[in-house]
Amino acid sequence: MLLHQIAFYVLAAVAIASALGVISFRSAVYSMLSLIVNLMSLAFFFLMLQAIFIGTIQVLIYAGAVMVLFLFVVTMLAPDTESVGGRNPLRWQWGAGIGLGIILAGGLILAVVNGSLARDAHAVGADGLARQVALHGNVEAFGLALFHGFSFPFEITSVLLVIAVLGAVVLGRRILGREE
Amino acid sequence: MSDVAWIVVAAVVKSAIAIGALLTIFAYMTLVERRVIARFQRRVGPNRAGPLGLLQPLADGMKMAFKEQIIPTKARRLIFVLSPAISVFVALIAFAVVPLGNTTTWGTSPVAIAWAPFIADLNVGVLYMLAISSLAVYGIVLGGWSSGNHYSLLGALRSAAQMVSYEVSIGLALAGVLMLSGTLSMVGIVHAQVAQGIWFILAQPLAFVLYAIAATAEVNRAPFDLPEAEQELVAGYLTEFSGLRWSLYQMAEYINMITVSSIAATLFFGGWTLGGLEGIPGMPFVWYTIKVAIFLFIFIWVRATLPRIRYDQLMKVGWQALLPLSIINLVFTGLAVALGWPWWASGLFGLGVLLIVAVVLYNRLRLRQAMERQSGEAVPLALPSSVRLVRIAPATASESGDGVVAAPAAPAESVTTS
Amino acid sequence: MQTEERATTLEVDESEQLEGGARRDYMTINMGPQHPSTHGVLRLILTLDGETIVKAQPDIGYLHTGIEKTAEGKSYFKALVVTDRMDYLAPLANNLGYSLAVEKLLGIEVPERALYARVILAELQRIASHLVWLGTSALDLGAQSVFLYCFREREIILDIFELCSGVRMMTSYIMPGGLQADLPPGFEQRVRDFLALFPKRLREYHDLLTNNRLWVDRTKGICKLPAEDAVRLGCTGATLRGSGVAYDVRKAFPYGGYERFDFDIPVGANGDVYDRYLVRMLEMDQSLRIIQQALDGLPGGPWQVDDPKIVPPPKYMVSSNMEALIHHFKLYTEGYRPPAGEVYVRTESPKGELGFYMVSDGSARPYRMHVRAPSFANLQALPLMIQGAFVADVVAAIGSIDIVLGEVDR
Repeated sequence: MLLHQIAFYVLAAVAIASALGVISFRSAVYSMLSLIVNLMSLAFFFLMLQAIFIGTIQVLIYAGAVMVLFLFVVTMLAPDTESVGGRNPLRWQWGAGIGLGIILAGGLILAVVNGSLARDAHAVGADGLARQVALHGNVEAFGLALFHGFSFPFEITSVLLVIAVLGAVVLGRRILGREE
Repeated sequence: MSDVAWIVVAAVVKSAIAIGALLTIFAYMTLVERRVIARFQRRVGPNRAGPLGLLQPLADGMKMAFKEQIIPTKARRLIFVLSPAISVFVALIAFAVVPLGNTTTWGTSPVAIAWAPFIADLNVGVLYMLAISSLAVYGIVLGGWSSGNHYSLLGALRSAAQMVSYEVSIGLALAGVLMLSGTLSMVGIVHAQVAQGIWFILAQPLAFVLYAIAATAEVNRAPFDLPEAEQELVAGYLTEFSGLRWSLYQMAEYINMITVSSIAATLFFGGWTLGGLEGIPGMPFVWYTIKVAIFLFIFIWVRATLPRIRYDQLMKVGWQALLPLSIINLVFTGLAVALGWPWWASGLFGLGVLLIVAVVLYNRLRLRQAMERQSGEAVPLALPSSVRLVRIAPATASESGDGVVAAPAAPAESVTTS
Repeated sequence: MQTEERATTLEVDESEQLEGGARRDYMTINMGPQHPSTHGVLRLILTLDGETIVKAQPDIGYLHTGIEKTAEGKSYFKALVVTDRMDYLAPLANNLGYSLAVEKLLGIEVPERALYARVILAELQRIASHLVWLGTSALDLGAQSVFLYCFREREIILDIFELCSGVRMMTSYIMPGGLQADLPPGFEQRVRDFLALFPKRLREYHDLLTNNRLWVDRTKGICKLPAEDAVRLGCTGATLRGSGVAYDVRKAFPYGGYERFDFDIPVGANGDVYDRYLVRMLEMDQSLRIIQQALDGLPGGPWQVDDPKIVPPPKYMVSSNMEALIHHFKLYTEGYRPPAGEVYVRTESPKGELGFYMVSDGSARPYRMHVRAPSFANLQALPLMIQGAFVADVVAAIGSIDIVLGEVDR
């Protein structure tokens, strides 16, 4: 499994480097490109976990659709802007960012440590998923989990998305109305 | 060597063959397209280089290779150089899951299976294809953006909007087929068609039509070739590219055409099968090739015939026509599959929807007033009523000084016969 | 004055101040002079908001050839050939306008045969010009094949011109005083063959475009030009008729025998690209009718005025007849001297009203020749048409006004 480990560390390095790139590039387009690389490396992590379906969906939705829209907006709004330049207008962001970053890192570490310690996490954890995949096949396992085990969260998420779409429509309409 | 090593060798060899074949087909596809379009337009087409012009792609390739590859001063160099490569890379890897034949050609050992005529049979094959083709837009958008040219940028933006909108319709149109077959694997879908004894075009005619339209838009071919509309945007995102980088983009476009044709052939027309005739050794590949070639010919045919659609109209068609229709199709197919109705239920439904759409469009055309033409023969040509023939009495010499300028509301006699 | 004009012509607004301190950014693109579909070297400075045109400024003059001035340095007899080069897609229409103007200055009438032949040639030229327009404007909207079909038919017409004059495009075949040479044998048959063939081909174009949904979507309701604006801006030809004004010089101020023929004027209603398109399509039908009538009535007899001071004597006489030699020498070295005066002659060229204003001071050269070029006037309507339209509509609009830059810049 040496190959596996090499792949993991390479991917991890790429993921972290590109994540740093997202926040350190001055040009919005380069930041976005880093984010795309980051999302792609996450997709490869999913592939390494045998979650080929989720990996593909990760590429399809995030890299293929969401980021394309980002790119669309960024290239359209600021085609020639290389950098923001000058003084950072939002200085308080530094403090807030560091604080929130620490909280997020702590939470993640807690979750990972807890997850690997807790015995009953297998029902939904990586091992459980691998077992399900072996039993039913990749797509089928995912479908079963989604529509049998987690149908309520799934539906809640879609309601949330519908609300988001409606909100976007309302906001968009109001802005258009003001312009006219 | 171990089995794993053999499987890796098989994958590498098959990939090499596929890439070589795709590049050759791309080269000859350009020749075929030029010859066929020339036929449509009563020209001869390129026939000088070698017999029947068969060496033309070689000559083109040489020319492109030796051309200066200009990088504009305003370009972002790194991305400008990388983006054609992204396009081609994405186009090539998308082809990995296209099956050119059945799994078990000889033997059942893992090594024998590894030599089956496709690079990989992913159990998410169709999704993989969609995911990869959704990445194709990056090559175009980044290429256009990095050129530092307004025309390129406009082309790139058009492309981004177009591809994102049409991917949704493609995905939903294909979902009907996936429901019927119950698998996402490309090989599995062909097997499902054999098992059910039909091609899915029969069960999903509406999905096929929607897919055909959306896929044409997805690969930026006429009449949806807005990103490179040469009459409006010079050459769109391609404007600043020259030499090999330009041909890389062309390569990506043609390979994408082959790929979407392959999806159509596999999902709707039984892939490598042809009513049992696929049993003859070597023939599956022939059937597959014929099917794809027909689709490629239709691409060329459409390009020779139709004017280009406008950008906003394209978005309107995508979101207001294709998307609702594909959702209708999806819902009905889901119903049919869930209730266990036979395949012809969704087939009839799809045909019905197509018929309704056709009748609506036809009626809108016929509403325009028919007009008889000068020769007196009734020409079955529906001419709109906005333009009429005005008969002005020949002015005599004395009157001509006044200038017989008929105002818009002047009595105008519509002429029917001479 | 000049600096002021330049400032207003080329000023580019990149942004607009909005309320509340916000600015709206525009993108300026330079369409032409090297652009595939500006039909020559037209330059348009487009200010875009997204893909919508906020402002369009045509910048002309890239093809300025000084034809008017050149003509003033040549004798009337020789200035004819420069008129071919103005609207190079309809040289015979230019020849006709120029010849009519010079004839009016001279106060001569051409013989019947020349009159009819001129009508036939001018209408063939109209069809040829409209074919180029149809092909290129269809190509601009992405319909490739129509372009080559149109050029196939135009080739037949050019062959007929070649048969008459030995030249395909810049024929100078119509000259002051008649025609350069008599219509050749076989001319009538060739034209009749064309008359038999062309309606079928016209039908093909209708089938390909007129009811094609994509074509209708691209042209109907696009780039409207209201009738009042069209009149105000001096638009003529199909650009004006497409807006619903029934004005055709051939009917309003008949010239060159057009009053003898029975034909109708197609007139649009909406003033959009589609109406202008259809007006020209139907005009080709009417041209066929005129040619048919002119061909049926084509008389024999002389094809030039019987005045050796205006038209050169036949070649065989030059080498055998002293008088003819002197006339020939005088005509080619000095030319003829029309009486002092000024004329304005208007004709309906394929592009619109083509007017020749000529001033004679009694010398052998025009004191002033001014051309009222229809393309120039029609081009003025372009910024108005494309205001608020999309970039893709700009090419549709340029195609629909059918300009030739050689004529705009002269």
